[in-house]
Amino acid sequence: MLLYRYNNTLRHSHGGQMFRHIDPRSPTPLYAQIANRLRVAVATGELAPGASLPSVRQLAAEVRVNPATVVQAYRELERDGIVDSRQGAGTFVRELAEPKRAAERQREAVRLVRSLLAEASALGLTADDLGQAWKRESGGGGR
Amino acid sequence: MWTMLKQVLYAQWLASRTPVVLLALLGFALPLFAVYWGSGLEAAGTAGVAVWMAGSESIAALLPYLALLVGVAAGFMAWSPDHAGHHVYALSLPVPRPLFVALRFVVGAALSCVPAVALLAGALIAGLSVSLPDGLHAYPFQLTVRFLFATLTIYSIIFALAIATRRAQLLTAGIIGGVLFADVLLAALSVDYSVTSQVLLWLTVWPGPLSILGGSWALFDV
Amino acid sequence: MSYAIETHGLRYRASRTFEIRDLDLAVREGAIYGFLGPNGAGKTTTIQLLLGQLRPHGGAIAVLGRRVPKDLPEILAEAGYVPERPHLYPYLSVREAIRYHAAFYRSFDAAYADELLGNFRLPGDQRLSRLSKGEMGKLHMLLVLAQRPRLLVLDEPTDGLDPVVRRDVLSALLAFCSQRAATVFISSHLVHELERVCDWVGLLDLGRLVAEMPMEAFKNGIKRIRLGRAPAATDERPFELVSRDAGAGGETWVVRGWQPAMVQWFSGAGGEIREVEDLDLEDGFVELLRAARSRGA
Repeated sequence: MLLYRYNNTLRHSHGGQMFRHIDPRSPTPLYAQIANRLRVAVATGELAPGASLPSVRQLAAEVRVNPATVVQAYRELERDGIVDSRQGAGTFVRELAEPKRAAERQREAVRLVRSLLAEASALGLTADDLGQAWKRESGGGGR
Repeated sequence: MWTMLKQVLYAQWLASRTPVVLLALLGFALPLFAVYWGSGLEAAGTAGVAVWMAGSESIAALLPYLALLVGVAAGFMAWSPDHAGHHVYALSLPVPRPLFVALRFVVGAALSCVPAVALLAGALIAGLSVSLPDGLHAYPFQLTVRFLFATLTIYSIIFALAIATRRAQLLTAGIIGGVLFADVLLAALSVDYSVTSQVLLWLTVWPGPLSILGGSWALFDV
Repeated sequence: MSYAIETHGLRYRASRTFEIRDLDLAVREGAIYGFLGPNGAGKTTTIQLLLGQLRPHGGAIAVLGRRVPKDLPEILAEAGYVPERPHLYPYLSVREAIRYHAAFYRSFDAAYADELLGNFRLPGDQRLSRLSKGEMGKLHMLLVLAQRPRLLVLDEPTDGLDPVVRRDVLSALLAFCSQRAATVFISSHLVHELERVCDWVGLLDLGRLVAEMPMEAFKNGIKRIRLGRAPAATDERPFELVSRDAGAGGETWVVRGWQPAMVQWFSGAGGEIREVEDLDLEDGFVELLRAARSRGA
């Protein structure tokens, strides 16, 4: 499968790949999807403490969403203490204590499992089916 | 303001440079033909001069037609780029409509002067390149001015027609058609009168607007 | 609250069979407003009326706080327009077209135009008649953005463009909007594209405005409910019933203004819900159109 390399002069390393799962169709508002993705990135260390988030302009253009959406996402992250926005300098990831980061990871894991369970039940799969599949897949170590 | 004029002029030049250059070449060449029609002015004697004069005048008589051609071409070309795009671009620019019309008019008039300038150059060269017998003079400036007036008159009329509303254009076409039809009718009824000739007479004899095309056009005269 | 575009009772009769009627648009300043509707709904005609290209047969139009057509030159100085069909002079080169355009706008930013020329990788010396559709689309966007306008009116700006060009064009537009709180009025029949970008949506069908609301309200509020048993007939519903279909397995309702707590109302009214389905923008759009047409017919 050919992966098209989006070549633009914004030269930002994150945007295109990090937010490729943004789904405007999902019931979760776009700003929440963006904020959640950034939250997880911070929790797993993908975004290191002190790292700068892309500017509103860059992110809006790369992900192709309304700038107001990006502003809202950043504001939510700031409110939750994940990032710091400094006038003129940009938005930066805060130093988060390990317990807080672990809590974020936990939240994301719960969210994944919840959606897995919902989908499984809609298809009529039992917990046993899921358990067997889990053993098989996670044991193999594939990604 | 000047930037706008400059850009409109440049764009108009790009759109219409081929016809303008061709017409200018024609304007430049005609006076030279008027001189070199026939040969050996000096050796000819009085009768020869008369023949040469007649030939020269017949070439010069083509000039009003050239003026007509330049005026019509310039008038149509002034609006053809906008016409092609249904005037969408021009109407979306932050220029009041009357100002834009004025810009187009000035630019079109400027371009229609180019053949006149070429005519002047040709006429001057023609005048200098021949030694006229006593009593005959060359009138390059007068000829050019006359040409310029004729061109601009025709240009203004066609420009106005091209920008006129559909209704006005149809009205004009209707009047022309009506005149021609009247003549056909009169001929069928064996009436010895021509509406067309009468109308042309009104237009081309002073103070008719097209009178400038009439009269005697000559580069060389007494 | 200031409005970038406002119309009251706008009316225009294009032909015996097609008329724009009672059009009351309200586009807030700073919004990215998606003007949606099927082909033939009258989107292009409306835009032409808004920018004074057509004269209305009734109603009032105000753009950027000024009356159309009275103050048209002042409005156009601050508005960028990309029409549906190519309208620039085809014999100009790209650079010449930029210079021509620049002469008419005091706010034109030549440096920004150059930057976009590079970003879009447009051939500066190529004649417009030789440009591909994608390159022409990019040039249109370049010209209106370089004007640094307060309002952008875009009529199907990405129609017929390949996905790569569409991204480039939208990215440039959004980058501009981030820096300057410009209002964008973008008409399209391509619903998917506008989903992520617009925060307001207006839906036009057969010359009438069927709906106008914030995008979130449009997306989240509309659901398709599959019923096992319909509730007792009642006029008092906490939501708006857009359409109702009887099927083999039970009824399907499409509702607007749905909240999760309303499930209780359903069971209280004797109904049984099998499934509540999210409708994406396109489906919601289709349902609203269907309902509007059956109402109006």
